[in-house]
Amino acid sequence: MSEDYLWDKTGKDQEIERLENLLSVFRYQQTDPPILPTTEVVPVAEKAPRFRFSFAFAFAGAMAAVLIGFGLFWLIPREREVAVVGPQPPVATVKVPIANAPVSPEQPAQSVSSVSKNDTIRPSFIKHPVPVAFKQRNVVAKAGQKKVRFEDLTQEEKYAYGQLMLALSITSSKLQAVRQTIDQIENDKTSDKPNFR
Amino acid sequence: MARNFFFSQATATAPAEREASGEEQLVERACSGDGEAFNEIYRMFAPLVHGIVLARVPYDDVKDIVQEVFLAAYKNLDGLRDKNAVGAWLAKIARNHAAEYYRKARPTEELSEDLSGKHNPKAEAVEIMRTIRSMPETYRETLVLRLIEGMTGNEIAERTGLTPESVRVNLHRGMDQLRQKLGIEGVKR
Repeated sequence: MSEDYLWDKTGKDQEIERLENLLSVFRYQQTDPPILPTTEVVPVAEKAPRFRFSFAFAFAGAMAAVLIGFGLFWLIPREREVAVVGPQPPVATVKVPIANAPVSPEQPAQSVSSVSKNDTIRPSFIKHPVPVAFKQRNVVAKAGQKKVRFEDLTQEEKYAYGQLMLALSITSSKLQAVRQTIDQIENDKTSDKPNFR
Repeated sequence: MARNFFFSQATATAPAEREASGEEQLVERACSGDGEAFNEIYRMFAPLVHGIVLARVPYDDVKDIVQEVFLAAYKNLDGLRDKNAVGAWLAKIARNHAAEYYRKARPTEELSEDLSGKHNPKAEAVEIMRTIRSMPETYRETLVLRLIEGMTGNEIAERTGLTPESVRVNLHRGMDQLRQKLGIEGVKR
């Protein structure tokens, strides 16, 4: 066996040449290159950054929404302000029963300062007394905020306010009746309860 | 022989370095979407890939697998780290695809008696090919590239990334084994 011929085809080796000739049927025959998927070739440097959904972004968005919600919650005043008639200092604290208000447009509006918590206001067509048991609370009137007098309300607004007060009175009476019924039932139960001792 | 060995080593490195820069440029161009550059890579390395696949897979399926190898290489060209080692990289892909071929468990056909007759040259070639495939992987790959694809030892070393010494050893030991298996009496050294 010629090692030179086996290595770089120099010299002569009949046996290897014979093998080469026999095996040449398997030799690579030049073919066309494969058809390349040209649409898939995108240079790496020219790739545009794509937005990808990630849980980090979602979490950050949720946290931002919560913070905005809390901010709005604290910014919006939570106490309804009541008009204070007459010249007042910039910040004044007055005790006002919330339920005191005229119930119908026909009924004259009472001044805020003249209403006490024991006054009962009801429409003329309600015959039975309507209990009014509202708590008083301190209402702070801040300076620089819009003050609305009851006299300045339009006729429709006054009527709506009266209807609202009427509805509240009726609801309150209904609740009182329910409460009394419940109390009576409970009293009956306790009195009928047998003593096992 | 010793003189030839050292001479062959010297001649093996010079073209390798010369072609290395050319390979790198071709790969860079192919990465940037130059289809002609990739076709040039195909023309350079198709015989290598063909030989590596042929050493493992039946001849009828070799062409398809060669095409698959180059398509896979084209898709993953950006992942090639050493752009001067395209041949070794393609050889690895070819070996993986040949292994994948057998994982798919395709049906194989046995040769008929007519084809396996000893007087039929093609049948004799098939028999020699079968004998080569029964040899260890390192020997059969080198022998196929040398005897079938017609590459020299230097070319095999350049393309596959092996050292010329390894190729030389594989060629001689593989040839000795092939002679023994085929019953050919070799020349006494």
